[in-house]
Amino acid sequence: MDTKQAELELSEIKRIMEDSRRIMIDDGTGFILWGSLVAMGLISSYLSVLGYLEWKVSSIAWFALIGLGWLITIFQLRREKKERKAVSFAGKVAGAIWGSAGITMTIIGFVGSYSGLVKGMGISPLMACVLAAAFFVSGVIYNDKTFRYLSFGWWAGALVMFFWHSSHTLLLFALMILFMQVLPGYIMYKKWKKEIKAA
Amino acid sequence: MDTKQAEIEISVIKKIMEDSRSAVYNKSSQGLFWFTLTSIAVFVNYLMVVTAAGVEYTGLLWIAVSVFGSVYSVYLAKKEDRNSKVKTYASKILTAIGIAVGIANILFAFASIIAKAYDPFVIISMNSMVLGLAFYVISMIQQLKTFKLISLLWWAGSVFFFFRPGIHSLLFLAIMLSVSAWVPWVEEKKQSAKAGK
Repeated sequence: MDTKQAELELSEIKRIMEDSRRIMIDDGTGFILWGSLVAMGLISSYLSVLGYLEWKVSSIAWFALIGLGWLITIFQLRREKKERKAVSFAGKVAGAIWGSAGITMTIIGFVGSYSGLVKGMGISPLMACVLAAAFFVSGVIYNDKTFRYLSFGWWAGALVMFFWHSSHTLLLFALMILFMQVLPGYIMYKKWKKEIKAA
Repeated sequence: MDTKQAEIEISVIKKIMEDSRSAVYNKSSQGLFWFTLTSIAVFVNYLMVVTAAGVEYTGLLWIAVSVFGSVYSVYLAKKEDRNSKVKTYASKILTAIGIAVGIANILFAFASIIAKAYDPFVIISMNSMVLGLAFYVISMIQQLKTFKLISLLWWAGSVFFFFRPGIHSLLFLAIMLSVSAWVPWVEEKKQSAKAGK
């Protein structure tokens, strides 16, 4: 191996590592999008429980919101695939976590309730458990302690909802999503913008 | 930078990458242990229910499994810590997945049995769902297609038992736990043998 080739290879490795670092910084839009959609769905269900909204309307709202979420996500992924040349290892793992967590929660929400095995109020704590697991692993991927602390918040919330069999858990879960998913997503977005400007 | 220095740096980077890969493979002993142990326990539990023999000892069985599993797991972790020189990024993620899935599965059992939030059969569907998630992520880390296939099997089983909950779901769980432990182990051994050649 001559000097020129060795230098080229090293600079390529350096470039890949720098790329990885940049790609690893999530822009947080996924957190904001899914958090907002699910919170809206939960509030519509809560209004139905209180009698302000017909159940039919909230059921349609859920289908529309989750369908919209998946459509936007697929569209975003396709666009990113075209624009981005390299996907880092961390990016792949993070994508796998949140993608599979999304599939899991969609199955719990629709299949669980449709089959009758999971009753309406029982969906929220199960989803909180899945979110806790996803946040915990993401904490290691992003090397961010906040994510780990958030996972404990999700687990604690799940425990409360497991014991508190009330329709008000819908509102509690909506608030948890807003404060423990949408808000961190917004903070991530701000950080990401800063990083992009600095790059 | 001269040729020699550049060559040394590249070989160091290569070694680090190879170390990372082998360190990830070696970490599978915890998973292998827990999957095998729980698979046996679930199968014994299934036989207890089907034959109606010793059903009153079900709780005792699970307490024994949890205590033995935890003690042996700590011993295994200490032994691994002594032997492994490197703690890679991938192995850290795998450990986090193990912890997260473990806590989630314990919570599902707790929610059903103690908080009475669900029918006990929900535990099996939910365990399968979360294990599907874990194997999907592991498939990305280990780059083994078998893991992806296993994750799909877990998800399919979960959906099936949402609609057809029953005692035989315990047999499914026992078989899947065993498959999840040993099929990737055999594949990993084959791959490391190939890499060693």
